[in-house]
Amino acid sequence: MKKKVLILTLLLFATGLFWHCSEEIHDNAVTFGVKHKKPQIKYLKGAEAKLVMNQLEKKVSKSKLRILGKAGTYARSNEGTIDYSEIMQVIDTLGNTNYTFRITNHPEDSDQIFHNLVYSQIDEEIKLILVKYENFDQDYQFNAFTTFTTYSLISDDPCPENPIPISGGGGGAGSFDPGIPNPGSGGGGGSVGGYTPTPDYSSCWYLMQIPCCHKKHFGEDSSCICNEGEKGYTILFNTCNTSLPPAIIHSGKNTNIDPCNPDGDFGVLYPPVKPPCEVLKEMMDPLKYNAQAYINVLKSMLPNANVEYAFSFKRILDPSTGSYSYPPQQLIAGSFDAVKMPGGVNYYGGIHLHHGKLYNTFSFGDIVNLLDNTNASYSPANGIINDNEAVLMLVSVNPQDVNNPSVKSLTVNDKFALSSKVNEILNDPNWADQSLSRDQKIEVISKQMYSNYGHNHAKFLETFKDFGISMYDYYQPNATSPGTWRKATTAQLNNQPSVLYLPDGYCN
Amino acid sequence: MKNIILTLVIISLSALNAQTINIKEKVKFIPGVYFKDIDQVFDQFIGTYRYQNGNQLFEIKFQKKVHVPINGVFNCHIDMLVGGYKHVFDGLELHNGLAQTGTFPNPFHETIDSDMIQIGPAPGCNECNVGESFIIGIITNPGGNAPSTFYARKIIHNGLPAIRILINYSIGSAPEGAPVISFRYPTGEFIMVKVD
Repeated sequence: MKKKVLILTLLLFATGLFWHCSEEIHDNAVTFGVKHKKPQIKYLKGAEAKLVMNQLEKKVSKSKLRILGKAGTYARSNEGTIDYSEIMQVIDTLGNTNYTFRITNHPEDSDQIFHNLVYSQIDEEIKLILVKYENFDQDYQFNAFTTFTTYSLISDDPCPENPIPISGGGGGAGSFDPGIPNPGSGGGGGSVGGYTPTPDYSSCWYLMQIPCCHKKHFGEDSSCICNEGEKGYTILFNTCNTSLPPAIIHSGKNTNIDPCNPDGDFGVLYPPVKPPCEVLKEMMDPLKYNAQAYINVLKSMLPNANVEYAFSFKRILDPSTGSYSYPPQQLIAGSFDAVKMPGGVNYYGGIHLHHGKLYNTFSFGDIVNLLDNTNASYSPANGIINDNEAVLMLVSVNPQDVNNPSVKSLTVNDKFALSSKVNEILNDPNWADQSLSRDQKIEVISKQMYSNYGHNHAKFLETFKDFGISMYDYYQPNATSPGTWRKATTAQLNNQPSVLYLPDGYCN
Repeated sequence: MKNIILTLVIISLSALNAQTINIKEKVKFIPGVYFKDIDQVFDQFIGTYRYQNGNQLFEIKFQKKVHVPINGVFNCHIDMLVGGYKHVFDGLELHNGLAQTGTFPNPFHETIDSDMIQIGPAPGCNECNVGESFIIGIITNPGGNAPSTFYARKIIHNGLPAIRILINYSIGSAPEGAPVISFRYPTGEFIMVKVD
């Protein structure tokens, strides 16, 4: 009997240990909860891009649209230029393939408008859609949701060839009467004006924007039944031929974030971002932000500092002349008052100092600061539509040369990724108690992350490699010589991540 | 025989419960893990410390909390140091929360807390001896606004037990025109002598 009890106890012991080990493995594996099936997104280069270009060329040539050939790009008269340098391929969850091309120099392009050409292949049917985006991403708290306001189906069918205005976005589900175009039924709160029928298409097509993602059943009055909180899509009803089922297309949205895509989806290619070198060059321009002056001040303060100091970068638009002024900024000190860098449409980040008692590289809090400044500076009226013109510079101790402090800058490559990753960490209870304030969480997470990468710029870059940011170093051989920004990349040297400055990473 | 069985049962039950890891190895919270102050570093900081210079008086009181549950992380616990402070400047008492030390239901809501022990020398304690432990934590205004990170090292000052504490405010970003919040605590570096 005793033997049986002993065996049973040993089994319990072994089970406990096994349970314990499996729990650890489980914990490591399940970090972000349930995984959703997502469309596959790929940026095409080389031969793959060439193949799609050729297919598109054939398709467009069959339409009534005229193609102007140029090396590397193809222009459609009066419709801007198709940019083949970046083609986004999206294969949705049903296997439908769409290609998105960026259109540049479209006559309607402005601070608030840009266009994409979507080449859609669903089963054997191929469609070309010119999508116009307007008033995108105006939400201060970025949510990656973009509405498009019109699109054109490019084909020989005269009916859908014309632009079709959408009567608004983001409102509640509307009712539908196929015979009577109803401008208001698409939901209120849209970004542009109402439905404006013209003889060319008003009798054929009717659009309704629905604020839900899943293709739900339609009520007896043809209204859409939506689940709360779901994202929008657009239903295109053909009133010329009522036997045709309504086409359902999604609002232009970031497919990385909203994978709910039963009927084909396409990615959005935004206007080209301003190259970081151009952004940094503007920061250093003595007639503009004049960052060199602030760099010099903070370098001189570094040896005796035991608190943080900072300057903001500010520019103000004069609406009457369209010109900018760049007023000098006051020194901000991290003592006495909990002052912060101001964020807003006139501010484009800034420069700060980490004193020698602490870390020489950027913190998680610095990355949040960059995101907040990027969000706050977004202002189409000020000509800022690319969301990457704010920077965050850092003056800190240079262990290799104590007389020549390190100057580095973070720049934004992809605000979507930056926002997504920052919020993912801020909202993770494994990093910080979620009942703390945002500022407290930033502070808590910063100190934790620093314990992982410390002074090491290369480890910093590795830690934040998916955050849509780049780090540039301001190379100045001595205090009086002209400096050059150069992009920091990482490589493994002796099994340690190290910073490299490649020749093509220098800003000229 | 009974003792062996009992011991094995206790061990297996605790194995079912959680794994204990030295808090020095913590980067982030992990479900099922107890981050324990195995080397009793926090114990060395327990007490009240005072900095007085001219018109400024700054006092900190530290208490240790053990096996604190982490909200939102299954079966995760940690040892912590919590505290309160008193700050008088130019005859004005900016804050006195010494009496509230250790009374908050959620220790992370105390005006001072630390759940992190580092091995020096390292940023925050460049002068630490090799292998010396120092603590890193958060100090805030009452209510949690204006948080700063502090780095504290146990030292002997003029023959008396003391701490060297560095309080660093990281300059973040706020919407233009947002009200400036005055610190209730000082920033910078201080030697604080143990008084209680």
